[in-house]
Amino acid sequence: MSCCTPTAVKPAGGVSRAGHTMRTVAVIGPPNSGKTTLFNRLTGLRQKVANFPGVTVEHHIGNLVLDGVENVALIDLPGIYSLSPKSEDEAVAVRVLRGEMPGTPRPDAVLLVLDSTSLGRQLALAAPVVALGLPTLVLLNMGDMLEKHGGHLDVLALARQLGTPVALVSASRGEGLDAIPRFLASAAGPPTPIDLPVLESIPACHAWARKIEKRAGFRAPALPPWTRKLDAVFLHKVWGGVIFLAVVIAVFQLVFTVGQPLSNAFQVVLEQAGRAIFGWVPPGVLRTVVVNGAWKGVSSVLVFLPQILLLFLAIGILEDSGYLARAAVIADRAMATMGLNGKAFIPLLSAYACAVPAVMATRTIEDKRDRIATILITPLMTCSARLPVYTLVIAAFIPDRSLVPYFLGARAAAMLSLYLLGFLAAFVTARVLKSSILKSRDVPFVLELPSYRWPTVQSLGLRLVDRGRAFVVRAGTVILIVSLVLCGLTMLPLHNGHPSDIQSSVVAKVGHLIEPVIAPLGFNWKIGVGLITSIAAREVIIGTLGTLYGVDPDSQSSSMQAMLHKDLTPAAAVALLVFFAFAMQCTSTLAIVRRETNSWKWPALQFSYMTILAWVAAFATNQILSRLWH
Amino acid sequence: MNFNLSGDEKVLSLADLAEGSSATLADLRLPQNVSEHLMWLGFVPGAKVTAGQSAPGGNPRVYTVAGVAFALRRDVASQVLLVPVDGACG
Repeated sequence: MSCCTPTAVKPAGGVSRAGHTMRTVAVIGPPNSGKTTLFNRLTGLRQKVANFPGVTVEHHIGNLVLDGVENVALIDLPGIYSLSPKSEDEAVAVRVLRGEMPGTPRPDAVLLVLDSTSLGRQLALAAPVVALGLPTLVLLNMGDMLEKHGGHLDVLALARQLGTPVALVSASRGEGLDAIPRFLASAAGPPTPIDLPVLESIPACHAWARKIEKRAGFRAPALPPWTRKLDAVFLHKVWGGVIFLAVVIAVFQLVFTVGQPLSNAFQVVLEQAGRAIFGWVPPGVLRTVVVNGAWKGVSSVLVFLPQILLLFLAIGILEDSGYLARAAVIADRAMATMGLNGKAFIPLLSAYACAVPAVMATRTIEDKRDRIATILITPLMTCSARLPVYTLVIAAFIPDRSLVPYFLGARAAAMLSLYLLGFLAAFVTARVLKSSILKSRDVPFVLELPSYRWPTVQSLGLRLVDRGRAFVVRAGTVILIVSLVLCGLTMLPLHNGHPSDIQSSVVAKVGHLIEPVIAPLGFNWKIGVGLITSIAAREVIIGTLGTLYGVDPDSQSSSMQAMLHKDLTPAAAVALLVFFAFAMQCTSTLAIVRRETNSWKWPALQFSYMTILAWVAAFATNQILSRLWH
Repeated sequence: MNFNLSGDEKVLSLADLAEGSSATLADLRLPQNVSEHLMWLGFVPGAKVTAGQSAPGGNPRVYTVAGVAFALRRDVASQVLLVPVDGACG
């Protein structure tokens, strides 16, 4: 490992801060410099995700896990190309580095991570960073690649030019990282760079970077031609598109074909756990609350976990290998018609399975306005939770006859129309949002295409743990509260200490109360109760109607269809389908949108918009069809 | 987005560069935010840029500068002007 022997040097001069123990250290660097790999290597699993107050930018905090270092908190700042606060990411980084971010202490030191194999461009960022005056250790990452492919760099000379310690490291192999404890123990002062350029002039910063790169004797490595050769295939005029479609279908298949049985199996486990809990809890109100309220609510969310982890495994492999950036290039034209860019593609695709992982997958979209627009439209894509509702209503009202012989039946056509309806709503909504409140201000679509790399098990594993934990903890807590409230409302008021049955409960009263609002849609109070309980999750309406009709929804779906016929006219049935296509009946999604946007504003807007859209569309459907079909 | 600020159609831009060929950047005729962003990425006047593959339909397209590849849409690439080279198609 001679290549990565740390070469940290004491800066010439500089104010000594002897006796000062560094407690907060910021990690910054451009995207694709291996910054996150380094952060994961330095903190392991002992890290947590947090949002800075008032912004959507997320950051990781972890305790440095290195021999000889104690009580050092590492903050992983977003990947940035410059410190000119144009984007939200850059503004956040600058505020943290200047100690202006509420709740975050000013860093005592900075670890600047640069990719040593393309040092020329990356060094320009060093100019504004060393100018901050914070003790800085420059970590030249991928040092193993530099040496292996014939590159060269005089680390000492570069340290002299930058006036601050420099070390050649390999984050993926963990080489050279002992430079970090030595730097932290050295009480290094502010950097004393030679000939720092005028920071306002970007060409001057680049010229400075070229100059010190030359003085440090940098010779670029002759990297293997893999990236060029693979791009010739993945961005080929014909094969590029074919491979793209194949990858998309593979991801979709993975989530549905592999994930669905896993979810089903997991559901069995959850149901058994539910029965076990049922046995432990003494009969009575408490049992109903714990089993029917808390456990049913929480397990209705947990059941998505296998599919979510599979999706994130697929996205992780695509992203870490470098293919996701190429896929975004290929999808860009199609996404541009929606006012979005190519990176919105994977989240929108995922939303056909479930909006929750889709919202989490929008993290790959750097532009915050594009990201929020994508988050807002994902629940309009037809997710798998709508399928049970669609299946039940379609089977009850649409005759099983053929429209195009051997090709398209009436029921399949109805299902297909609902998918199309959801997509059209998403399309129009995106266009409207992107030309109004979420219009991007002069942010061009610029996408860096990183070199292809093998994804590492550690990075994929950390990603799965991170996403899985975020999903279970954040979405789980909201779901728990909502389920308990809804469950309580179905049992209140108590009669002589016994809970009401659902027909005389508060929920039923609310159902009667909202009847005037939903009557123009063709819905009575029972459907109204179903609409209320399905705010927790769409498929809950089936169980609720089952309870109201006094039938077991699993074993007697035919009788349930018969009951539905009594409550709904054909026009109202179509209106109900349309309502479910548009309505935001999913607390998990609202919870995850709240978490990902770090604000109640967006989930509130989303819920209001989709509910109004659903009401108006269902109203129009019922009014028009009931006149046509009479 | 529409960045048609140049109006001068004789000057070659990145969008005119043939796949695999290189040229030197002269000027970025883009709003300040956009051009500053591109300049931090390495698209500074004087930098050598090589055109690469593109998405089906030719847009967006990959450009390599200082050893790193970026995909740019045509609306932006057409406003990144090149230093004229004798013998280039005109």
